[in-house]
Amino acid sequence: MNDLISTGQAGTLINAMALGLLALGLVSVLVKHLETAIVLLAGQGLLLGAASGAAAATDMAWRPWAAFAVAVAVKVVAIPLILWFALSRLPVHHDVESVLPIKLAFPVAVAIIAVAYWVVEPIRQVSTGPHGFDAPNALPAALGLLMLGLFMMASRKRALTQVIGLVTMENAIFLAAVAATHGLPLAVEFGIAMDVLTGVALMALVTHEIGQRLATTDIARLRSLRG
Amino acid sequence: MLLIALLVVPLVTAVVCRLLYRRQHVIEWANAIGSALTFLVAGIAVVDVARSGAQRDPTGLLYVDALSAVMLGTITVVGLAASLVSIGYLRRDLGAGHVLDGRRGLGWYYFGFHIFIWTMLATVSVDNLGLLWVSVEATTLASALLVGFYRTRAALEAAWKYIILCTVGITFALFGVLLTYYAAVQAAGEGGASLDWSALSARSGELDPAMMQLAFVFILIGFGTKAGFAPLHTWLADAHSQAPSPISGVLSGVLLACALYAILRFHVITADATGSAFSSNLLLAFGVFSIAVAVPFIVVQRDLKRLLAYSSVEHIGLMAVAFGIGGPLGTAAGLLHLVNHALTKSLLFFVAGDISQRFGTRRISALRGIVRVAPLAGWLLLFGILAITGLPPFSIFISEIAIASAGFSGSREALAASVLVIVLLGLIFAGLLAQGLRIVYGSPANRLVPATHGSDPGRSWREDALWVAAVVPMVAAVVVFGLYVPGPVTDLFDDVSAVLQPVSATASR
Repeated sequence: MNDLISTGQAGTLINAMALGLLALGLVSVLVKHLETAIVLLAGQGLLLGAASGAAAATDMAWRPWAAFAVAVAVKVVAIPLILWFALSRLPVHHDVESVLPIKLAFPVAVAIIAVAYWVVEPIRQVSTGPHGFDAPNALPAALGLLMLGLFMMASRKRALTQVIGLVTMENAIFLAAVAATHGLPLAVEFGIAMDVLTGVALMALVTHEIGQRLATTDIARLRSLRG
Repeated sequence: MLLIALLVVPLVTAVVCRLLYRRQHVIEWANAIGSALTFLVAGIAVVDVARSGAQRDPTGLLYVDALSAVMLGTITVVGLAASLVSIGYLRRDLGAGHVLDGRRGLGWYYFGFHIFIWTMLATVSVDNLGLLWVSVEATTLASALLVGFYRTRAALEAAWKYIILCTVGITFALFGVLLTYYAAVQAAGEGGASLDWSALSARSGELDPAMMQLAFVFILIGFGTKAGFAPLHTWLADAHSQAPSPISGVLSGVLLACALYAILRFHVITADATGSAFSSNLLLAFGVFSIAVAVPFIVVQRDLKRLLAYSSVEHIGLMAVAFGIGGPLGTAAGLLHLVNHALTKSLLFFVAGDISQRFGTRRISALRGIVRVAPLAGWLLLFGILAITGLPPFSIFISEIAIASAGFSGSREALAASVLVIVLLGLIFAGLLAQGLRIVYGSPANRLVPATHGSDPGRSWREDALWVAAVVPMVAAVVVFGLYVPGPVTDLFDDVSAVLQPVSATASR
């Protein structure tokens, strides 16, 4: 075999990336400006790319590398660019406007991560099983990131932060897929990437329209439809 | 080849409509011909499946069995009717200045419409469960554009809620897909594992039961959001009421059913892997709860299209109950109800759209006594509401009775669910009928005046003829299916019971 790295090494790398992603997710909860949040999202993409690259390097087939290329192109380049462009066209200020004060958001985020580790404990072998990598933190980190994404969506008022939370959730599942099954089949990975990309572009478009009509993108103001 | 053509036709139609937007008549024709062709190709595919079983395309990407065939038929029938209704509806919207960017906007509408149909056809014909997920998410993206089509504050709000809630929901479903794949890899090894439904369902007994249970919970939450199960239905009424009415008809009639279809595919595998009624009982619970939640919203509703939307929550719950009951009886009843609801509800949305466009309002209190001002629309609305409440001799009555009787011969949970459902249906019957009679016969608060806008060109007989041509076959089908279900259709339903065999086996165990 002419593999670049062994499965064990890849596992270690994926484990490190998972912890890094969790740290980035935690920081994302604290940021004040939308610009910072977008940069952090690109950072998430970079770490995911590294994890997926590590998985690809363990067996030198073209499919994992193709999945890696798609992931990097979409998550590191395309999505942050779209969000950045959408933000630059918004006629309003660029604060994230949290419902919770940061002093409160941080402990909640830490608690979320603790819960993720506690919940995943019984099925942690999934990421260390015969077909996955030896990355014991990957699955709890994925669940933690998933819930952090949801928390971001629930606690933030601006439309674009909702999109960022959503992409964070999708990143979490991507991480779990890499760790547990070397990623989903290529056609599926590709389809998901296209969906996420189109989805982000569409949400950016709707955000733009809302900004034009309402002169705010505070989604708490979107309350006219009831009952 | 046929299956590939089925996916190519709507795509080509969409692109043609977008490119030729400057020539309004051309894109209207392209829209109608494209839908008719899609309907024709789907019809041939359905006949093929009915005659010689499941079909595959040369690439192995598509797999159309009896369950897919029922969905293909329903989607293309409702799609064809909606595309015909769209022509007159959009012309009047364009004339009244409701369409942003004028003809360019019209081009986008037809583009979105056919892309939307395309994503639904893909949903019910791909074999791979991962691609099934991709297609369902694509239906959200395509239809979100249409929900927000008018770009008013309310339309944008509805589109935003729709796209965010359904995408968050479906992200959970992706986790369910991942767990399913993990179970497959565990059972067959990396090389032999696949997410193809035809392969997975053949050996679902080998999958880890605990893993599949967990996967199904995520699947049910994820696709259930899209299907409109309570309490995940909060996007539904907004999207249905704000979308252009032909789109509301498609959303309610077939899009919700597409999400239910996705759940059923996983339900089969889970039921077989666990050998228990776990997934059936979850379907029963979500179903009954959805019907119960719909009751108050129907009784006190003030907006005509929202009224119909909450009735869809009720009916999708009823279908979930039917498939939860399972067995040949429950499955056939569920399918029949799916088809009946698709026809009746999209008809109702088309009529409601016509009414709200004529009078410029959807407020029920403002529409009272409509039969005196607009007899045809008034009678059709009355017909639709009588049919949707399950009054004999219309088709919904037959499928509701079938669901209840399947429940009475099923498990203890199925029996309990059926009793609850009958009570709730009684409440909804009273509520919806009262609302319907108020609209049709009530004494108007103010004299109803047809809305005329500055540059309204009025209604031409051609548009009306097209509208009637789209609606009359649906009325006929609702009546005919109430009297008897044609033999070939019941045969196809029996084939679906065979497709859902593992479920039937657990139900009878």
